[in-house]
Amino acid sequence: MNICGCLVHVRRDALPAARAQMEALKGVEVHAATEDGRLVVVVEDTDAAFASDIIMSLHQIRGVISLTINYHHFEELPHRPSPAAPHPET
Amino acid sequence: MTISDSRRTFLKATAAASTAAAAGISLAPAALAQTPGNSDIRWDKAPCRFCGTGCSVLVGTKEGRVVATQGDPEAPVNRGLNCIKGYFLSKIMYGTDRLTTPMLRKSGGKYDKNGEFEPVSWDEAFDVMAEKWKAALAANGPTSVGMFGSGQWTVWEGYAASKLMKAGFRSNNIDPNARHCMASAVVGFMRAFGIDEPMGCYDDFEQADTFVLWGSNMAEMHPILWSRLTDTRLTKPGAQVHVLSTFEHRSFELADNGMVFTPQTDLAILNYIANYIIQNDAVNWDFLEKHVNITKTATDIGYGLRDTNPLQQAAANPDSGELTPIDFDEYAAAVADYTLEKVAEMSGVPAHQLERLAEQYADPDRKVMSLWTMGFNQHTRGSWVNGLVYNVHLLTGKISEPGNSPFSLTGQPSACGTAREVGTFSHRLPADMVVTNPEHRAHAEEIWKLPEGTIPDKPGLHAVAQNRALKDGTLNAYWVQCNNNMQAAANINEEGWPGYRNSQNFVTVSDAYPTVTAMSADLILPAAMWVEKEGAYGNAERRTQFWHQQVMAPGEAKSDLWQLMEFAKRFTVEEAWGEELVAKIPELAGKTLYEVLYENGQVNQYPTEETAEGFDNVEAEHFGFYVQKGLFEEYAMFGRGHGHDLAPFEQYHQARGLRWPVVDGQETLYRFREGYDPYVPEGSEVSFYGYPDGKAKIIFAPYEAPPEAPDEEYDLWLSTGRVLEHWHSGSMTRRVPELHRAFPAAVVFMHPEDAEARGLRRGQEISISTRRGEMLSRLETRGRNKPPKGLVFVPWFDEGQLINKLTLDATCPLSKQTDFKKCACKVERV
Repeated sequence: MNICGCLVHVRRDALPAARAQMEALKGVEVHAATEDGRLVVVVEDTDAAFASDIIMSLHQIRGVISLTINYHHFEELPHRPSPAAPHPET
Repeated sequence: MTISDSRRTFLKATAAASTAAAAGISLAPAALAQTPGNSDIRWDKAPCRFCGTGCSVLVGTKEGRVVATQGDPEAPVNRGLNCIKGYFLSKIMYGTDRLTTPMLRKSGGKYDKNGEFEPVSWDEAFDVMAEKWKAALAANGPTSVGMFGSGQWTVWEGYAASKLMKAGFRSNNIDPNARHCMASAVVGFMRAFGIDEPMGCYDDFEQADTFVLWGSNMAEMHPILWSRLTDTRLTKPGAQVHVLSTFEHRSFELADNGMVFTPQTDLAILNYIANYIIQNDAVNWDFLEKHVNITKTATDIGYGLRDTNPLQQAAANPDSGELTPIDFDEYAAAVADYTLEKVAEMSGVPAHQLERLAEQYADPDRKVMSLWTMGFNQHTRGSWVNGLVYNVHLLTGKISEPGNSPFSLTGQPSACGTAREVGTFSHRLPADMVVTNPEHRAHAEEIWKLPEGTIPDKPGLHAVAQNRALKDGTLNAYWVQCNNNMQAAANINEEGWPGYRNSQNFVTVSDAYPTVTAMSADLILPAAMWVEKEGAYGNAERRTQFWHQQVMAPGEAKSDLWQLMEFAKRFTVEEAWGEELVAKIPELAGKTLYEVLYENGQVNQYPTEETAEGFDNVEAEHFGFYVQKGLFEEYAMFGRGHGHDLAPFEQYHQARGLRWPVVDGQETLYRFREGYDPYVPEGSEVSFYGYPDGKAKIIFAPYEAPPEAPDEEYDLWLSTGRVLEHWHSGSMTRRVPELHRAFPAAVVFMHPEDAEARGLRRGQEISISTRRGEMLSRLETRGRNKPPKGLVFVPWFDEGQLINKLTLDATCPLSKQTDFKKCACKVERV
C-alpha cells in the first residue's frame, strides 16, 4: 500500500480543467491549491493501479508543468493483487 | 487489505501536510499531523544515483535491503522533494538480472573470443585479463591499453582509475563517458575563464528574473530544478521563461517565449543577441574594460571525423582552437553581420521573439539565468556555442552574482565531482591540470611519490578515438567501467561494434547489469552499485556529497574501486614501467602497482577503525585501511590552496554537501566575486583568477554549417535525447517495472503533416535510416514532444532500438564531444 504527497505546478490558465481532471481520477485527492497554480495532491493505490502509475499519468495532464514527490508512505499488505499495467502515454 | 479507514485518512493527511509545508502552502489545521516512525527502518542520506542535479535522498534499509527512499528535507538542493525517478531509487539495485559473478567468453574450458559467456571466479577473470594486458603492453606498449570510465564513478573510483592508468600503466588512454556529455562545457569554461565549472549556483533559481533554456528540456531532464524554476516563475511578479529548442517539448508549457529554431542556428542567435546589446548601447563598459579580454577563434576547423573523411580534409584549420586578440570595434563589426532580419530567416524564429529574448539580456534591470545541457554540448561547434553564451553575459556584466548566471547543467551525478575534477579525461590531471604541461606532470608525480617522467606527456585517446582505435587494432586491452558505451556512442555499426569484436582486442566491462556493452565484451565483471559501497559525488553547482555503504552487494559483485585496486596487484612496476623508470627510485623495485599507487604511505594512512560505526565498508575491510578516506585526502592535496579546496573528509559525512572551494570551513556560492569568493583580492570586486591577468575572455565565433544536413534522399533532421521516465541508456530505469511500463519502448516523434506526406499513421511500424544504419520503430505524432516539420526526435534509452546505429560520430573538434542532435535521416513504411 502506497500513499504519496505530491506538489504539482499547473499553468494558471489550465488550472480549473487540470484540477478537475485530477479529481476525476480514482486514487487522487487535491488537498490544497494556490491561485498561482500550485496544488497539493495526495495519491494512493487503487485496485486498478499503483500510486506510482497514477503519478506517471498525472505528468501527462494538459497544463501540468512540474510534479515532484514530497512524501511517500508504504506498507506491505498481505494478499494484494497486482494491478494490471496501464496503457502507456508517450 | 488490512488498513482501517481512519488510519488511511490519517496517512493521507500526513502526506498532504508534509507536501504543503515543503511548498510553503498553508493547509487547514486539522490536516497537520506527525508521521509515525517506522522504527525498524534505518534512514541515512545519499545523493540520488541519477542526474547531475544532486538531490539528497533518505535511504531506508531494512534487513540488509533498501526498501524505500524519500526526498531529504534537510537538503538545500531538493528540500525534501523527489522526482519520479528518484521515487523509484530503491528498486534500481534489485533487477532480476543483476550480475553476481564474473563471466568470461569460453569454449572447451578456455577463453575464446567467439565463445559463450560462462561464470568464472575472480581469480580466473583477473588471470586472463592480466595476461591480455601484459601481452598488449609487451607487444605494443602503453598506448595499446585503455579505459573508458564514468561520470557515475564515485570521486575515489575516478581518482584511483586515473592514477592506475596514467601513473600505473603510463597510458593517458583513459576517458570518461562525460566526454559525451560535458566536454564542450569544459572547453567553454577553460577558454573563457581558465578554470572549470559554473561560477553561480542553484540559489540563482530564486534570484533570477528571466530564465533562458538553450536547448534544455529541464521539465523532463532536471525535474527538481525545474520545480524550483517553476515556483519562481509562478510566484515572482514579472518573472519570465524563454525556451529555445529544435522541437517543442514539455518545458514549452511554462514558456513566455517559446522558440523552435533550425538546428545549428543557435550560433547565429547568440551573435545576434551580442549585436543587439552593442547596437542598443547596453554594454557594461566598466565591467568590460576591467574584467574582460576580447578574442576571436580560428574558423573552418572540421568536424572531428576520421582524418580520411573528405569533410576533414577540406577544413582549412582542422581542430584548431587558436585565439587571436581583437579590439572591441573588430568584435562589434564581426557580430554586426548577425542582424535581426538575417537571423530570423536563418533560424526560423519570428523576429519579434528574438528581439524579446535579446531585450532580457540587454536590460540592466533584469537578472538573467541561462541554462543548457546537451543541446549546446552535443554540438559540432559545442565549445564555440558555450563561449557565445558567456560573451553575452560578459558584455553586460551579468555574471558571478546572485541571479545573473550562465549555468551549465550536467547529466550525470558526478560529471563534475569525478569526471572533471579528478582528471579522468585523456588530457587531464586532477584540479584542472593537464598532461601536456611539464610542471603539472611533475607536481602530480611529486604528490604521488613516483619517478620523474612516469606520466606520459601526450593526451591519450578520447572516447570517440578509443572506438576508432579498437576498430583499427591499435588499442588492444580495454576496460569499460560504469557506463553503457556500446549503446551510448554514435555510429555503432561502423565503429563501436567492429572495435569491440576485433579479434586483436580483449574487452572487459564492469557493470551491475548485462547491458548491450557488457554483452559485447569478452569478460564481464559484476559491479556493486550506489549504496552498496561508500561513495562521493559532485553535482553541477560544485557541491560534493558523501554517503555510507548501506547494504551489501549481491553475490560476488564488487565495487569498481575494489576491482581497480585488486587488478593493480597483478603487475610489478617492472612489467608495467620497464627497468629504466624503476631505476630512478630503486626502492620501488619489485613492488606491485597496488603497492606503489595505493600503499604509498598516504592512501593507506587511515585505519579501518575510522570508518563509520554501524555501516559496512567492504573495501576498508578487504584492503585493511580506510581506502576512501586515503584516496580522498591524497586527491584533495591537488586542489587545496589552488582554488579547488575541499573540506576535511569527515565534514562531508555530516553536511548535505558543500560547494567548493571550501576555505576555512566555508563553502563558496559565487566564484570570482568579492565578498563571496575568498580567492578574489580585496578591492577588486571581480577577479577571473583562472587567468593570470584576472580577466575572462569574450571569444567571437561565427555560424558554420553542420557536417550533415537533410538532402533529397535523407530528408529529415534526426535529433536524439531522453524522456522523463528513463535515465540515459535505461540500464537502471528499465529495471524498475513502473518506469518501464510507463515508457516501454522508444518511438519516433514526428510532425503529423510529415507523417501524412509519407502516408504514415500514428502507431504504425516504420523504418528510420541514415547513411550508417537502419532501425525499426513506431511513429508518434501526438506525444509530449512536437517536432516541427522536417525533424524527428528519438529517445535513446531503449536497447531494443539502438538509435546510435544511425547517428554520426562527428564531434566538436575542440572538445571531441559527439553531436547526437543533428544528422540526416529518412522515415519509411515497412
